[in-house]
Amino acid sequence: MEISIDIIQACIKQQRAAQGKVYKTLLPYLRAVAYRYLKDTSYVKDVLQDSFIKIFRRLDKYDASKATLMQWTARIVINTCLNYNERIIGLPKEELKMFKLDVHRAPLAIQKLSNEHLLYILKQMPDEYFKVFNLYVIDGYSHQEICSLLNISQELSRQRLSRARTWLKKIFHKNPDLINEINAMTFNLN
Amino acid sequence: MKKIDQEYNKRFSNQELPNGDFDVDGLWDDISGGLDGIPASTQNTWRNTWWFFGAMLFVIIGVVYFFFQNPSEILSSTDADTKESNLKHDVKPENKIKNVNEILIRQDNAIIESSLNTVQNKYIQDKNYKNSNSIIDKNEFVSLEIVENKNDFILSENSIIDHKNMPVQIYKGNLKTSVNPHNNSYNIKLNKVEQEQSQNENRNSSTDIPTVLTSQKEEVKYDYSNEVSTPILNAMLSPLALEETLIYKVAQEMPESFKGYYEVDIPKPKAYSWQISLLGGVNNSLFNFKSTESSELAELKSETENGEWGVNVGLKAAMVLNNKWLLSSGLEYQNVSSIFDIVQTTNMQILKEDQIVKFLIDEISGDTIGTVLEDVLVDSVVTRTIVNHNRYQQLSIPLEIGVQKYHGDLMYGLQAGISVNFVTSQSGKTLDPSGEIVSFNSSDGFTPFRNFHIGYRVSPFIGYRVAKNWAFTFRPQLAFNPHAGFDSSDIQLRSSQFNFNVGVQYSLN
Repeated sequence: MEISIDIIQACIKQQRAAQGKVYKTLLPYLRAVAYRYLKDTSYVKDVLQDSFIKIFRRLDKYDASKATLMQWTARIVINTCLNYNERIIGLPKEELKMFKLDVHRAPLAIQKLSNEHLLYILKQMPDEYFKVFNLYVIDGYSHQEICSLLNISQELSRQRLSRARTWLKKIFHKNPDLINEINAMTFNLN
Repeated sequence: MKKIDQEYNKRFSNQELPNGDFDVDGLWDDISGGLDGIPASTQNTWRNTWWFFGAMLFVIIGVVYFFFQNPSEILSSTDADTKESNLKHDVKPENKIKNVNEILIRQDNAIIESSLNTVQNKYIQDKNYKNSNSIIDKNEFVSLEIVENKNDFILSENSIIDHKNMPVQIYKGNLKTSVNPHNNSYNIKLNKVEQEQSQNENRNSSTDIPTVLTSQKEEVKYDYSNEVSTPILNAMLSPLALEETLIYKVAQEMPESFKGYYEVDIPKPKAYSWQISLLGGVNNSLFNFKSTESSELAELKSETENGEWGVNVGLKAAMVLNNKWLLSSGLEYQNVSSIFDIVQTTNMQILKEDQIVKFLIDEISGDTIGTVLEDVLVDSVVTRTIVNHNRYQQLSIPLEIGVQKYHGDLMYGLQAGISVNFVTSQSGKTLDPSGEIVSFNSSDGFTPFRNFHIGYRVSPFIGYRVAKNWAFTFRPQLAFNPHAGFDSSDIQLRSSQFNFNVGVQYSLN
């Protein structure tokens, strides 16, 4: 995923052709990020539209010495997703009560699950855990970065990560009901 | 535990989703529209910027074509045009001054020679110096010479000589035409010559001398003005290619004694002219909502929506009557912006971690032997600030009257009138009748602007002329737009809009 400095400069000058090239280059990755962070994936197109507009309008502020273009753009998409989750979709109140853990069943083989299944499970996680787990484990943010992004303390970030891991552990090891539920699901990524 | 982390990281950290059936081009169209400042989802014919500017260009070309097709404007437009026109017409000094626009410019030497010849002939005819017994050499009898800068001329009769034995100048004219079309100030002088001459001078008796003015110090002043009859005056003026308005001024300023002889059709100066202005600038608005029944909500709406800077462009044409009064109209495009900003408190459930939900109590001792902690949802009051930038786009057709004055190259004045406004798009957030935040766009019922409304406006202006027909202008403007409906109980917007426009103005004379 190579994007040259010249193309970035052309994007800053609002040249549509260059912006279109960057858009097509980044879209597969940023679309995956949006799918992962959005609780309601029907908003993916809206999020990507808002995000790309922000990206092209703020590209002159991009500092290559601090982050790669992918990291910088992903952060914009993540922020947009978090805003959508909170302002438009609201907190997923019902989902918190979805799973009643059964401690007597066999553990779930994580490797046998598809990406869609894993993502579905991740999104069932309480929202505060979900954000920290996504940022720390998948996107490689530090607790310091997370606390500035989510406006929480580092201690709380660590605590939520720990609880997210515990939540997942319980799901994968002790909740076979989930298997029947997610096996019955079909995923439409469009 | 790390196994789960690793699996998630491996699967998703650099995941890319194939495009598949995803509408890549459709999303790009929306993004491009957003980058252009117009939401792609709300685009239609009226909101297409290129369409709008294309229409503006069409209007400009149409207006320019219309005005420049007027033949009388062509002749007076530039010297170059005049010269070109001259090539198409024969030099025919006519007795009717109204035809002088067909005659050539005075700087042309050939025309000057023709003028001399014509004036001489006319003078001779007028004085009836036809003698069957003699042949008059007009060049010896009467002379007309152009002096100095070709704007001054002297008509002399060689048969009348002064004490220095020189031909007496009977008429001297100055036709310097530094025309200022804005204030009709023409620098024209027609002066009869008062020639001092010795009473004892030997004079040629064959010429009648009509009036003896004074006879002091043995000198006589002669007034020959009456000797110059209409044909001669015409002959003198016609070749000089004067504009009709200029000849009118000549007639006004000529000596009284000429006027009785001057019985030609004198065209009057034009009573009107045109001005075209191209304007552009910024605007800002005050949003004031009113209602007879929901005054509190109207007040809240007024507090939550405040103007931001927008842009205007426009083309105006004005008819200038008597160089002073203005009647103007045109077409303006206005992009009005506002910010909707409200702090809202809502009740919602938030997650509280590790809350004590149960105490385990020893039935026998009554001691607390343990607690049960759970993450629970609790009711909470959440305060959030909602900010949205509202956009309104409208086309306006102003109908204004005004007055303007010139002070040298400085121009100033005042215009006032109405504007007929057509809202082409509006989108943003506002409060509905129940006070809830709602999004609106052009097609729903919550739009603050009425799609068609009439506003009032007043606009002082000042300008500076940088060339004969060109001026730069600055036009601040206050516009009041009552978006009033028939039902006064509705919440209605009354916006006051301040425009600050600069532009260029072209005068068609």
